[in-house]
Amino acid sequence: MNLEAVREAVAHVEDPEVPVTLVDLGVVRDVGLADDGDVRVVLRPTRLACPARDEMARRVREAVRSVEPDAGVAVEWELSTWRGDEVSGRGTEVLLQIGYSDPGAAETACPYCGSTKVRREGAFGGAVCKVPFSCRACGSTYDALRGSRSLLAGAPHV
Amino acid sequence: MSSVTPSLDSSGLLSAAEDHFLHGHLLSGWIVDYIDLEESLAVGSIAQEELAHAATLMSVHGLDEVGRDVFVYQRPAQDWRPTRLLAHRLHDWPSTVVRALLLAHAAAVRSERMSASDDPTIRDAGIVLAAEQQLHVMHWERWVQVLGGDARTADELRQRAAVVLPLGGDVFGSASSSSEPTPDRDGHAAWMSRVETVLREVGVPVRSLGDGPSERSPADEQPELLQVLAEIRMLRVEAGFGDGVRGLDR
Repeated sequence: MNLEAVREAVAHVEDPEVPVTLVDLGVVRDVGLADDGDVRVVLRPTRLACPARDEMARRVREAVRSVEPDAGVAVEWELSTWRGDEVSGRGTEVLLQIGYSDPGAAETACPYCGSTKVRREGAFGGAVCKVPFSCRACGSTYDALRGSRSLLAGAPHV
Repeated sequence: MSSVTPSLDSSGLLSAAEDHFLHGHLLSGWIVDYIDLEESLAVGSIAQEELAHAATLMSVHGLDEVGRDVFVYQRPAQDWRPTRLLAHRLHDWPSTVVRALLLAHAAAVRSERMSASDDPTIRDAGIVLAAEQQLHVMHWERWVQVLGGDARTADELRQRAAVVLPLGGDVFGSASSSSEPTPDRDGHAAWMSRVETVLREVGVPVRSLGDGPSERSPADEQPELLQVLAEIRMLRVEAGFGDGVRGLDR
């Protein structure tokens, strides 16, 4: 078993909705070997009800078998709260480019103009993991991921 | 804590899972009844999370994917003992809001107590569930304040609450069919305290929830619940697990 090759393959698996790898999103928590020799991949959902969980697991299994075709693969979901401040710098850069706020920032800001004069447009967006915002400076609408640091901290919004 | 708190024992976790599942199912009916688009998104998300929380509680209990499927779709209907709040279809929004408020606070109380468990699996699940249920609590509290704070809707909210609240006395009641069921009096008291704070502000008394939890009733004593369960099971292909949904009458 070439575990480094397995880790490398899993590192390229992208989230089904945003073009960011699961590693950069902080969803992949561990890749290792179980006692029975199977590859064990631990994932943390952004929200328990994330509808993409099955697809994430399928992609992870596919990635492992792309380098270890005969490997058994156990995908385990961790019972932990996902945190936006664990998204990598590379992941954050992509999220900003596609219209999400910086998940690790202490204060939410418009991903298009950088203004912090923003307004939360409700508690629920188009998916369980999204919170809708609008920018009072440039008029853009954007989403914040629900586990973003600024939302976990309960920061006030204009 | 997990070994002595009645609602966190084996039957308590599965009983809570029943409640979450049925609430998610019943709430989902509002997704296509557009009060406004934002509310449809909210209700859709909350219903989706209720189903996920049901699955999480079943997993904590030890049911795997197949076991969870059997628990919902193949278990005899008479084995279901959800709270009576979920044994009735509620066709109006104020009743739905009151029921959701009661259930969200109950879930918050239960999950916070889970998070203090000595059992690491129960504790970890409790921490996540408590964090996610807080969003539901905030949502339904806001609706109670909106409906109860507007002269055009406040009377109807109070009238509907007077019908819904008496159904909720068994939320922390025992679901066990044993001869000596153990109601969760501490859970009931903590829950009562929280919902009273919210409902008192809009003139809704909570006396009808009772001083202590009442016992839950089996589904076969509740005709409307049997209909709901039959409706849920109709969605499954008879061939079994993993085969998707039966084509409804289209």
